[in-house]
Amino acid sequence: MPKTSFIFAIHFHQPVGQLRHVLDRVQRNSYELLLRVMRDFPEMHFTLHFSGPLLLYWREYYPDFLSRLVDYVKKGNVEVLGGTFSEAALPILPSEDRVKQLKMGRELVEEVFGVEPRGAWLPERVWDPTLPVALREAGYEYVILDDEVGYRAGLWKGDVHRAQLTEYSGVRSGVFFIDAPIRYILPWRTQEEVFDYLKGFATESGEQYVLWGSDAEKFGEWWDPAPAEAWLRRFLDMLRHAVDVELLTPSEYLRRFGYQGPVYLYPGSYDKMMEWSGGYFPNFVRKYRESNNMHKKMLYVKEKLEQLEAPGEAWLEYVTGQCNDAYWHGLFGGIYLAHLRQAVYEHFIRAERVAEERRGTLDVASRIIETDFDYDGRKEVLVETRRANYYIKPDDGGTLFELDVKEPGDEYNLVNTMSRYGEPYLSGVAWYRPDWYRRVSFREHIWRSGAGIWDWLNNTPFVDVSDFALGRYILEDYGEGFVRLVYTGRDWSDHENPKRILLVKTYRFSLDGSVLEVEYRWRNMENSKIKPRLSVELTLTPRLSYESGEIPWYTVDGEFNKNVREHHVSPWSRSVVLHSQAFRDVFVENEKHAALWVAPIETLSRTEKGLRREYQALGIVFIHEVELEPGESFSTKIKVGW
Amino acid sequence: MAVKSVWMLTFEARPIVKVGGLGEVPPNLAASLVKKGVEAVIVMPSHAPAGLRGEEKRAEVDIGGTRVIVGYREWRGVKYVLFSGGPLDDPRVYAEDTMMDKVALLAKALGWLLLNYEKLGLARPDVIHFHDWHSVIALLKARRELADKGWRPGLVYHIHLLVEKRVEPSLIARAGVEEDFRHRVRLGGRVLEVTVRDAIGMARGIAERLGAIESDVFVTVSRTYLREDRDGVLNRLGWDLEEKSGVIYNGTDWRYRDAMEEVLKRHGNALAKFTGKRDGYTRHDLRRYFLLQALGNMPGAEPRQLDKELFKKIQEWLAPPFKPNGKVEPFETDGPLVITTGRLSRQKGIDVLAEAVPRVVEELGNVKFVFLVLPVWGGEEYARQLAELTKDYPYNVRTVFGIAPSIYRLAHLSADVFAAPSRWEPFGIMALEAMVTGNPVVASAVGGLKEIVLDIRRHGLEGTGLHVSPGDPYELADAIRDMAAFMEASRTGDLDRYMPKIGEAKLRSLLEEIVDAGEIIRKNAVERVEKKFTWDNAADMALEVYERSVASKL
Repeated sequence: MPKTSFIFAIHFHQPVGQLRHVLDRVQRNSYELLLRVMRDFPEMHFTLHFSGPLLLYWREYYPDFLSRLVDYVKKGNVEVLGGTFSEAALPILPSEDRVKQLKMGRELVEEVFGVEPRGAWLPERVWDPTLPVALREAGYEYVILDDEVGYRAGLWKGDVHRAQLTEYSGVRSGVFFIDAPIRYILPWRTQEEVFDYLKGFATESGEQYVLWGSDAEKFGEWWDPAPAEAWLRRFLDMLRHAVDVELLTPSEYLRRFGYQGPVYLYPGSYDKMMEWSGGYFPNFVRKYRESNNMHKKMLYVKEKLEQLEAPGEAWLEYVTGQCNDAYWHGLFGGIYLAHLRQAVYEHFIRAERVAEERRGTLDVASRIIETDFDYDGRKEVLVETRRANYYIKPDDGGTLFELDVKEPGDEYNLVNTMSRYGEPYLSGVAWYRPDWYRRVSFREHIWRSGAGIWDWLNNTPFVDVSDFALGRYILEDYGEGFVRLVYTGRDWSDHENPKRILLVKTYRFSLDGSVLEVEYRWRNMENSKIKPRLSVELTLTPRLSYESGEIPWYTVDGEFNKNVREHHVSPWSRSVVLHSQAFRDVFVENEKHAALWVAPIETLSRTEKGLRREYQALGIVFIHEVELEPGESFSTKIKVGW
Repeated sequence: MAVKSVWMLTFEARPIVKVGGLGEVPPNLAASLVKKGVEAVIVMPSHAPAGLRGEEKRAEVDIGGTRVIVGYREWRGVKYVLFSGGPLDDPRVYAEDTMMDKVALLAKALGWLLLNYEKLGLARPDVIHFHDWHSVIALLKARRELADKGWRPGLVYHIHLLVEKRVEPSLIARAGVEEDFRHRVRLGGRVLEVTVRDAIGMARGIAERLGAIESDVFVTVSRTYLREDRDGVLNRLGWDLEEKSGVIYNGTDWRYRDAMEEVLKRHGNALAKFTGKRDGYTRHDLRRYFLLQALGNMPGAEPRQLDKELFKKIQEWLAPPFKPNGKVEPFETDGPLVITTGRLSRQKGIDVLAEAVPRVVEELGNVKFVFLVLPVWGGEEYARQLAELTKDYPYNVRTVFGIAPSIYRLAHLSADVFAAPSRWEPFGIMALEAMVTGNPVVASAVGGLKEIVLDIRRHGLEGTGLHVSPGDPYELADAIRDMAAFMEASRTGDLDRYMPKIGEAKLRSLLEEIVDAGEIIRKNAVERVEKKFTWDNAADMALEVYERSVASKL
């Protein structure tokens, strides 16, 4: 009788930096559900993948669940897949890291379950044709990809329902393809419809398989647990009794049918991912400067760890920071989740700190490095002290785009901000204007007379009448404890007759403390008087608590308390203090009084219930309205301390 | 035959009037000849009414209806015969409207002098040395005047800058030389008997070619300018002149020690106060003093303007960091210093350098550029470009329009790099001044600059600078950045900071070998000038040429 081989591969994953209450919920709604059901069907040959971060969460927070899971795996007929250690998207990793991730992923599975995985689950199934080398080096025989990748390479339907062999540089790798249509019907339609679909692939030998490979959270988290459980139990019960559909694991399938080949596959992933990424996963790094920032921090830290011959502890932090979720965005979350970005930075900063401490490299007061950190062809300035890193981008308005606190246990980036981008799903929102500059810190503007907080926040066009914000500042000099930038910008209020203004902006770093001071001097370089509204914008991220979920709050001038989702306008202020449960107070203090705007930088995300505002960071703007005679200067200092 | 007496004909000479580099050559060359026992006489218009150039009146004659005063003075042993009167009184040395009148009258005045030199107590010349196209008519006049006198000196024609000036036969006629005056010339290895009309035809109406044809030997200021430059002498005037061509380098009378003494004399007290030292100033002390103080403290009349009208126009574009009257604010910070000097003409390529500046600044933010430039009419746009650049980069650029003697040598002794971005440059005395004060020179690979500057990429630690293609701001920016970073790396020893900014592998490897490479390059530069590009050497070259001219005269 003709039959279809069915491979049911369930992928369990929670990102590095997940909030505790989310973990609890998913654990309760989904993972407990699945284990319960699987234990009730011990004879079923499931294929299971557990991501490294999730295994580590289970170890730390849900050890009882983990021990029940291990028991089940040891007794059951399941095949456990390996993969990467921190669910890292391999194509954006340096080649040695690909191997490291895959090996560590394998070792973790072996250590937890005592089984040797043969196959690898690729994070987001992002394929790159050079991967066979790393896969083989890490001891994997095959990978699970999407049929989309096969179709794009010119394979036929029959080809993507059989195991194929590919090779790169003479190194082989087996490939199984996830069937896209079944992902859209299982578990969303009736069990009968699923079976009807499966039977469509029946052959006498059963050598055509249908592979369902998707998220475990589809059972219990994406829809209500009770109906999800009922659906799954009925489906498994029908499967148990089916004669024309046989549940196999990939290894069982291979034992019977082996491979075909060869096939050659373009870089790619599942259909939606191809759409979001514009066809190529590394495009996310290009699209989001914040993704690029994290990615290049990764590359920078890697080089540092290698140079310092860092201990294993540092490397563990480093690979943990490679978890893919914070580096991209499809429809939901991803890079737009501040806590995920926060965690990525924390791990990289910790890796860096551990390595530096171990080697004593920062016993010198500070190190200042000019390097093209972000790979844009221009140099950034990285200032490293024992207690903090300050990353400055001269050619982007001389801004501070990363401020790493490096204190043990408190590693975090105070400028872990997110800019607002044009997303396809926001194209219909008429009032939405993406940010025209990266929302980082110490960016200068001159506001048109009458411009207010909402103009700033919502990017009203042409309210900044100067060219400072995106100016290519000159890195004039640097030395022990300072970096000086200069820029001659123009106030274009009078288009016919723009006014030159020289800005000298000096970052001063306390070498052993935790204060950054930025000295400002604007000078009228014209032979006539000018009246600009000189302004400095900071965007900072009070640290988020993974445990409490409580949102941070701030105090203006010691008297006005607000939470970070509220705005504040003042005609005459000097200080803002940021409070969070997860870190001590961070103060922002202007030497001189100024008008002040404070507001949350929020992104818009789409949900089933419509658009939702997602808090990203807190924006703070000081505005000095001044009159300057020819050659006259206005100076102030703004401090950030913690 | 030993040459004992030489006359030089020129339109400018430093003690009388100087507009460009030419003004340095006759007086310095002549003074060195005097030291070698030759009587040297410079004959030129005074470009001022009689008596204003420190000369005494020796004669008053009517030359073709113009009352010409013959003046006389001496300077550094050289005798100056100055003609004034009529158009020769016009102080605008090269003013178009009086130029041809001056040229014709100077020729006639020379004719008079050839017949009356004894009255002025001068010896009969063995050689007459004619400088640039303005003296070509006088050269013909000398031939005409002495045609039947039974003696004639060797005639040497000297091209400093080829402008391919057109000469009309009428101009020659105005000097009293008939079109059908028959005489013999040498060209292409043959001796020809020609009329003036024929000669003009053979010269294609070009003054400099005519001068070369009519002279016994003609010279220019560098081999490259003579033979290699696309717009150089033989490539433009014709290779049939090759056999009678020669080279006389320019020189400089600047010496490192003299320059330093002069600076200490002028700035010693202020320098002591600024540095807190009594002596033993390092070059870096001088740089800091120059940038942070002296540059902003030019005395009352400086910078001096040669043309008030022109400066009035330029002043409209000035705002901070310019101060009133073309003075400038000092810099607020120290940094590797690049200087350049010269007229604001297209030839000097200052606009190319201005275009290169932002590119250098972007990669070497502490670099300082000081432009010491002389505005000239026709170069207003260049002046404007520099004014804008200075205002846009107040931490990196200063421009001094006009003459500023108080800081000129100080700037040279403070600098780390000299930029010579000329589009063409027959010789390039500014490169000598720069090198003798210890600066590597980033120079266009043209004319004399190609011979003066030894490219470090080729000569290693014996080099004195870098060559770049003329007119290319990108290449110029790279070379200046490399050279400035190299010098600063060498001075500070901070290779981590400066080495990555040096694009040229050869420079990096030199620094890796010897951190003091910068100091070695400075020494090479000084020594090369003091050994090879002195006026004494130039005088030796001239004497060889003079002897050749006497030997080959027809």
